[in-house]
Amino acid sequence: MSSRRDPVSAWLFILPATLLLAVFVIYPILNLAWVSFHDWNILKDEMRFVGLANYRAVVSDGDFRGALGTTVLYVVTTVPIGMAISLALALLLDDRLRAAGLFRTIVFTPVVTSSVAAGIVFVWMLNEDRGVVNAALRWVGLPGPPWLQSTTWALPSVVVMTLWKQAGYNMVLFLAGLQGIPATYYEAAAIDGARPGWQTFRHVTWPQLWPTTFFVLVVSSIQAFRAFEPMYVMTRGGPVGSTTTLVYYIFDKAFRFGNMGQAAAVSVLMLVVVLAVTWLQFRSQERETTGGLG
Amino acid sequence: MCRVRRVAGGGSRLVAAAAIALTAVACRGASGRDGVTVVTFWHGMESGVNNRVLETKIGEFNRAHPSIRVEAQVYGAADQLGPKLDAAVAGRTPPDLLWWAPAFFPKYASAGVLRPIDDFVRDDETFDRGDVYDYLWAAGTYKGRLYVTPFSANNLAVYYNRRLFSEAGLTRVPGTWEEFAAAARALTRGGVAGFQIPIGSAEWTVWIWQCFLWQANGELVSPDGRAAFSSEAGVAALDFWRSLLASGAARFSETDAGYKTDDFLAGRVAMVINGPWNYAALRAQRHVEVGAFPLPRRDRAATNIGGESLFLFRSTPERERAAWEFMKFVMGPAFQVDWAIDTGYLPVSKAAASSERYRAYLAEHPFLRVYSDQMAAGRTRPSLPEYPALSATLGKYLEAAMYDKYSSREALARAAADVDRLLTPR
Repeated sequence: MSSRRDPVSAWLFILPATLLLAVFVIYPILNLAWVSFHDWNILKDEMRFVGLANYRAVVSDGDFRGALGTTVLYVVTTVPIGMAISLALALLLDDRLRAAGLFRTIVFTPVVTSSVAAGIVFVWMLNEDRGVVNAALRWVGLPGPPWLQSTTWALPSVVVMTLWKQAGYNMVLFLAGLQGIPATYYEAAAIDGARPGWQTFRHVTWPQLWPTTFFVLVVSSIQAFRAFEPMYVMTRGGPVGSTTTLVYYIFDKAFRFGNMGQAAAVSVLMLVVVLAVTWLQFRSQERETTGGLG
Repeated sequence: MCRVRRVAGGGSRLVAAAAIALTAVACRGASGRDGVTVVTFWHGMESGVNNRVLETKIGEFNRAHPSIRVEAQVYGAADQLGPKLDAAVAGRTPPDLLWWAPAFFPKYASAGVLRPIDDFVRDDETFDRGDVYDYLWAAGTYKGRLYVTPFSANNLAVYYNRRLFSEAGLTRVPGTWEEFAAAARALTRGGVAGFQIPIGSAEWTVWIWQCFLWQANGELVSPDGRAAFSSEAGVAALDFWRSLLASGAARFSETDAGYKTDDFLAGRVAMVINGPWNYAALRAQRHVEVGAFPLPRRDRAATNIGGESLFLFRSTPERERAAWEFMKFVMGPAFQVDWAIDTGYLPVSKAAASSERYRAYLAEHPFLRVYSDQMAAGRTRPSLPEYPALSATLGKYLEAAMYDKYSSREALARAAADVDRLLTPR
């Protein structure tokens, strides 16, 4: 290969991408770690080195543990439920339905809607007195809670909005995966006596779709860990911190309490958590692949 | 808005080139070739009526000052400005002038990003410092230097729905906490709540709660700079709100948006605490006949003086001078009378307040007279760089107490411990 003989031109080819990554990803991450060891007010230039004090302060903060718990709850609800919905939609709209194109467009629309606009509409719909959700509940004789002002219902409300917003995106990924499965596999399964429906899905579609499913799992998990916009628009992390996720906590620490050092420390911890989760997912993927062949 | 270039100064050439390319189209230069000095002015006026009045007044200023162009930009809700402003300051792109509550300026003054204005005030012969109320100058002073000038004044009082009052058989407005609670209970019926608690953890909640703290003879911060709200007065103030809620005579506002008048104008609540600045909008609607009365008292009458000031950010001498011209224009009696009459804000100029036109206007508008008279009982928030963080901390625990996560005593004790950590130098 010419690239082995000529490393200079190889480097030249990857230089633009490397440069962009270095400036916009690697440098900010290193800078973040640097800030996390300092006491720093964003408005001033001077920084005071404080060692691990920011980490100690954060870990002993009950609000941080609360935010961590909320984030985990948000991830383990939005990711599996979201993936199930997207997969079901993809199976349904995999060109077997009449006007599948129209339905695909409808399901995809929330993805291209701005989070802010969608959030505002959800806030209206979930309003205790004037919202359409409680109006519908009253109509069937049920009392509606003050969704976004209840420490019980605020997080589920945000989860529902997230599910609605993301279903279409993952559906498209699943659709692409489904259409990549060769028809011959289904023919072979039919000849072997597999009934269409569950048996075919279990033995052909699911294993063949696994690379897509895995990709969606990893990307959705990372996205869910980084959730901020829905909380910012719908609840501002409240009430009483019940929808404060890690990123929201970072935002609050940095911009409401002016403590950049502690905010950076949480960001570093979060990076570690996300890396660990992704690593675990890849580990289990290796097992799944080997096990799947058996 | 040409300062994008400066952001790129610390980054790579590539970024700088891209940034310049992207902004070149919209960018005509902060002090353009035409010799006009552009002054960017951020404000957060949410009322449509007030926005139109402001636009008109800025137009007047620009026409009268051909070498200056004030360009207004709306930043949205004032309670959510902190993050935007901090990011802008850190990115070295703050506005020239900012319209915000004076309680927030010491943070920026202590960071050295505001331009002190003592020299302008002292040396400008066309400006009469004595015409502006002293308490406003005091609210704009930090460590002996003057940083901000008042734009308009206000305070907090209670809006009430006159029809609901007469339907509930109430013939006079309540004066004390007991009378207020009794009125709230009497007004609560048929899906209407007597009072709306400004729930949330943002400044709006904290600002209003301070009035009740003061009414019970409490203080927010002690003279030696420590949290003073964790006191019998603080507990009484918080318990008062909680008892109104527990008795069913009050309900929550939209979280962090107690300043919105929607529920009040829809007739769902009979009393809300709010300021005079909505007066123009209140008069323009036909749903509710609105009255106002002073905040109820316990040991004493007290309200929180608000109003926004103009913060001047450091830039070039030319732009700072141009911005001062606008600050001076705003404080002038001509602007102040028009502004007060068109919006409901209270004037900051003595000449404006005592002008024939404004006094005649007040006589015809008892709603505004309530606010004007209440200035005597007004107090202001402390001038501390830590005030934004103090407010966020106290707000967090006030909300938690309203949701029964803590008793009033415990919530305030925890808030005080956190605030003391903020206030004591590390």
